[in-house]
Amino acid sequence: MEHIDEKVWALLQDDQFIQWVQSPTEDSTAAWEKWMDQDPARIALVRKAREIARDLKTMEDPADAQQLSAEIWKDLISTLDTTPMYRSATQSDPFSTPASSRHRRLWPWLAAASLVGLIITGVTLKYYHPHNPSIMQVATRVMDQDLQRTNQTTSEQEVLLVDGSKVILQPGASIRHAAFFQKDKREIHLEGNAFFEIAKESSRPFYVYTKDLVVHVLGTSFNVTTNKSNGDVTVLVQSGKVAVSKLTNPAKQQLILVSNQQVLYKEQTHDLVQNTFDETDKAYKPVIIAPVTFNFDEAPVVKILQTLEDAYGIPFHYDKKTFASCMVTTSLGDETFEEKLKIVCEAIGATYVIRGNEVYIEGKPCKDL
Amino acid sequence: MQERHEDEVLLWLQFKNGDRDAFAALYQRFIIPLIAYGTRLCPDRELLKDQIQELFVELWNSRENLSVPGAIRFYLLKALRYKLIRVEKHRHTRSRVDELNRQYNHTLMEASIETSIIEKEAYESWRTLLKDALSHLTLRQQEIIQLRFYQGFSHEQIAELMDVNYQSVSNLLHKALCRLKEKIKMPVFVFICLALLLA
Repeated sequence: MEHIDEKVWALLQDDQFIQWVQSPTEDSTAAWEKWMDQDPARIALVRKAREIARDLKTMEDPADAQQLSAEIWKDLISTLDTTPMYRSATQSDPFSTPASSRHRRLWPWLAAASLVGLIITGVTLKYYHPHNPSIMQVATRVMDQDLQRTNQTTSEQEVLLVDGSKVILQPGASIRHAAFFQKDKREIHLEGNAFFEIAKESSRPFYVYTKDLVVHVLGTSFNVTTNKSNGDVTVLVQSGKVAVSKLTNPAKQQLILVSNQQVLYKEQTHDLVQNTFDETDKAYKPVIIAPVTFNFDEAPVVKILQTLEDAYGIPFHYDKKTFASCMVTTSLGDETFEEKLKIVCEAIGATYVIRGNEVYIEGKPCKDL
Repeated sequence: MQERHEDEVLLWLQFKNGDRDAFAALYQRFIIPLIAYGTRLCPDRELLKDQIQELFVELWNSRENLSVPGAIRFYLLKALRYKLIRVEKHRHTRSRVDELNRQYNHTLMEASIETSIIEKEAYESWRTLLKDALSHLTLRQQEIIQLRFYQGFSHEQIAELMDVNYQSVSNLLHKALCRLKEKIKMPVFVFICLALLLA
C-alpha cells in the first residue's frame, strides 16, 4: 500500500490545480511547470495528484449506465409516441438501425470509461511528453493468424488495438498479435521500443512478450526499451501495476512493479534487477496519450473505413463501388474497435462479419434523396 | 470533459424546432452524465429512471418555450437536481434511513472484502480502497466530488447548481477531500497495527 504524501492532498485541494488538470491552457501549464522547476520533488507530487484526480473521475461512471439509458429511452419513446406532435416529427431511435439514407448524422455512444490516462491536448509540456498521434504510417502484414505491425518511419507512431489499448511504436519497433486477441487473454509480441497504454479488461489479462521477458499487465501504462549495445531490456511503469518475469522461468521470479518503478533485465547474466526510477531524471518524460478523435464531416464512408483499417491494421473487405455514395458525419473516440465498426455500419445500413483476423462488410448502396 | 459547444447549440435549436433526430442525439450525448449525477442524488434506481424520463418528456413538450442554455449539460443536471429534490421532499423519511442502512452494510462488506484483496495484492486494491473511502463520505460530499472531478464544473457552477454560495462550495469540497484522505489513511494504519500484532 503506497503512502500518499500530504502535499498531494494539498494539490487536490487547490482549485487552480484541478482547473489545470481538466482544462489546461498554455498559461496555466507554463505556470505549473515553473512551479515544478523550483523543486524536482514536485514532479512526482503532480503526477500522483493527477492520477488520483483521474481515478476520482473514472470512478463515477455507474456500471450499468448503458443498460439504464436504453431502458429509459424505451419508456421515453413509448410515452412520447402518444403525443401527436412527436409522432408527426421525423423518426429516430438511437438504439435501432434506421433505414439507410444519403445523410446520416450519428453521434457516438458515450463509451463506458475503460481507459485510464489523463488528457492534455495541444499543449506543449516540459515534464509531460505531448503526443500527437499520427496513426497512418505503420506497415501491417498479416502472418498466419497474426498481424505484424512495424514502424518503418523515423518518428514514433501510434497504433490502436481492438480493446481500446494504444501502443506508441518507436522507429523500427514492431508488434505481432492476433487482431482480436484470444478469448481469455490478450497477447502481444514486441520487438524494439514501445510505450503501452493498456485498457482495463479484467476478464482478459494482457501479456507483452519480448525475446526473454513477459510483462503481465493489470490496467496500466508502461514503457519497454532495449539497449542496443548490450541487449539489456528496461521496463518502466508510468501508472498502474505490472508483473515482469523471465520467459524461461516465469514461476521462479516475478517482479511486481508500480508507478515509477522499473526493472532491468541483463542480457548477459539473465538477471532481473529492480530499481526505482529517479523521478528527477528529466531525460524521461512521462507519456500522455491524447484520446483518439476521428472527426468526419460528411466524409465518404470509404475514407472512414480506410482510416480504421490503417489505425488498427485489420484488413477490411467490402465493395467500394457499393458504398461510393455513402456520406457519414460522425465523431469516433476511445470506443473499442467493434463499437466503432457498429457505429459506422449502422450509419450506412450495412452489416459486418469478423472472420479470423479480417472484417467483411456487406450492404446496399446509399440512396440519393 | 470537453465541451463541443457549437454543435450542441445547433442540436438544441433543431430540437426546439421539433427535430426528433436532434432530440435523440441530445439524449445520447448527455444521458450518461445525467445518470451518473442522478445516481449520486437518488439511490432509488426506479425513481431515478422515472425522473429522467419525465425530464425528457417535459423538455420535448415545452421545447418551443425553452431558452437556449449556455451550457447544456449544466442546464440538464440542474433541471434533474431540481426534480429529484422536489420528489425527495414528498417521500417518507424512511427511505433516507434505508439508504443509511444500505451504506452501512455496504461498508461492512467492503471491509471484509478488502482484507482478502490486500492479501492477494491485486491492483484492484487501490481502487477498492478509493471507492470504499468515497462511500464513507456524506451524500453531499460525494455529490460535490462528482461535480468537481467527473462533471468538471467550476466552483461558481457548482454553487449555482447546488444553490449555495461560493464559500460553501469551497468549504464542502475541502471537507470532502479531507475526509477522503482520512479514510484512505485509516486502512494503512490498521494494516500497520495488524502487521505489528502478527510479527
